[in-house]
Amino acid sequence: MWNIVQCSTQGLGHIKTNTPCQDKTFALRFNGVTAVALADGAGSASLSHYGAETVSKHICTDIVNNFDDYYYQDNGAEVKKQLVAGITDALNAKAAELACQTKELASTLLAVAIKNDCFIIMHIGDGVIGYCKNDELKIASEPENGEFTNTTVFTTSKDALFTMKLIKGHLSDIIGFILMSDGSEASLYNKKDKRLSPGLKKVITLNKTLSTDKIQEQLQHSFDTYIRDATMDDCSLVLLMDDGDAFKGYRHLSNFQKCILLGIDSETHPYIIRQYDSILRYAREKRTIRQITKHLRIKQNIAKVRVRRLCNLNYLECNDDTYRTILRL
Amino acid sequence: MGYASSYFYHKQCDVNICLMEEKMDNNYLLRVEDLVNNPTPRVPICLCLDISGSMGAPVKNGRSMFSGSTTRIKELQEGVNLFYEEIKSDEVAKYSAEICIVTFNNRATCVMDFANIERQTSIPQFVPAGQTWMGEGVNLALDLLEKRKNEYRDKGVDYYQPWLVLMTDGEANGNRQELERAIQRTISLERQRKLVIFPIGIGDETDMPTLKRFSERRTALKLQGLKFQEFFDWLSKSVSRLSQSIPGEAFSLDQEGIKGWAEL
Repeated sequence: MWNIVQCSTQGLGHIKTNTPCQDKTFALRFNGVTAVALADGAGSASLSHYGAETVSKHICTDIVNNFDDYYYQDNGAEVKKQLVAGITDALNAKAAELACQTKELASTLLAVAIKNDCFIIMHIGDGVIGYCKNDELKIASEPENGEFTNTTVFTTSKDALFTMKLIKGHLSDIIGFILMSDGSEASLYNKKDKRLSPGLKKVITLNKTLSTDKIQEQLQHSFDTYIRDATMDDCSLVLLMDDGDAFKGYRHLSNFQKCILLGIDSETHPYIIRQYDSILRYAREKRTIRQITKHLRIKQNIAKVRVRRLCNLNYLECNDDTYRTILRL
Repeated sequence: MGYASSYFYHKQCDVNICLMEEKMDNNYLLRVEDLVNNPTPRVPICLCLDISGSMGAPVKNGRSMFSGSTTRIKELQEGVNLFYEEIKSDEVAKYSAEICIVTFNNRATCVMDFANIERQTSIPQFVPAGQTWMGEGVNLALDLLEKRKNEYRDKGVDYYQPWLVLMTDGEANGNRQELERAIQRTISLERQRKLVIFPIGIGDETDMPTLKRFSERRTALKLQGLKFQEFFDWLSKSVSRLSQSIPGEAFSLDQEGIKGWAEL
């Protein structure tokens, strides 16, 4: 099953000027199609947050309704024209509603849609679209920045059609797609090497063992702190991830599989594995270290080591010195 | 087993455990060690300064010669020093702004090349003498800005449009062809939005008509009296605002045929 996670956070620059977050994300499942989109409003356009919201919703709706028509159309240039025409109509309608000029709604636009074994990617402007295939993170579409860092192409630009990237293909071994705005690039995309942060692969992998809600919550926490602090810009990220349906829960695993999941040697004595089993079961309710120590009847420093490993693996969450299991048991 | 690929990530956990000792209640999916370290986008700024003989002439400033008369070069020197101090004290601009100083009189000289501002600890002293080879000065400044952009590109460093601050108190009397070439270059770059130029005249003897030819978008300004410090204060604040700016307008690309489908 394909899970969706969306994060966005208002940039420090916009907090200072009391400007709303201009990054918008959207997701839609309909008609056997799953579509996600991300749009980053132009800093110079006063109503670009409305524009970003409009185009991200529009493109998801357009692609889920017309996926087959677009996918099986061999003439990619024709598909581009149709997509841009639809975006333009949507923006013109919004401009009429807000009594403003269309250029005030300018934004970038990134989108990915999948149906059965097929995908479509489209990209206007900066930001990055990546994917995870065969345990490797790769770039599907690089930022369109031009020579200078503060310039890009927008949905309202006359060059949008010429610079738009449009890609289709078969999913094969792709297990995840990543869409990020240029604000997030500062922390999650190495611009010199053109590589994504390996941390994103960690998140896609954790999607198999943690609930989507928990991933969403903890990723947003990262965005509201570390990611936001690295730039003045708004930051946003959308992940579309396949959980593979293979993981039925921790308790269904063999000891060998548990060792792999816990990152411990496969020769580890079974009693140690049982300690981890007990902690994960016991901490379905919030527990302190003292309670865990008493329940397992082990020394406190041993309990701390076990708990730290589980926290570091994001299988336990910690709040106010209490721990709770978030790994799917 | 679909999730066995997590094995390589998990092997790093022993290294990460020591980090978790300090922060046990931080439920972050992406932590500091997961973040990429990209260099700060740079704004290259070239100060192209007239240090001809007239810049050393005493200037009346309402005080007697024995208690505080000054010269344009002295005020310019203090203004440049202030500019550096202001940039260094700005938390964002000090990592973004990179400054180069070109002086021109009978020759054009780069007296301070581009570098991280914290390494530029000693601002050169300007000694006024000679004529006003403005064209040569501007051409050298443009060459240095272009070279710096190439270095940024080679190292994968993002950058803003370069800034050229041209300050002069006289009439250009160097090679005429060099002057015309300099003017054509600045106009061309400005039209392509590849350069931001500030032509500033100092004093009443400035050849303002020639100075105005360097920019179509920005009127050449005459500095009020000797208000170098005020000007450089404004300049440093402008740099600070740019360093904190968020992506702006669209730009024009060369038209090319629409490409069709691409593949991964």
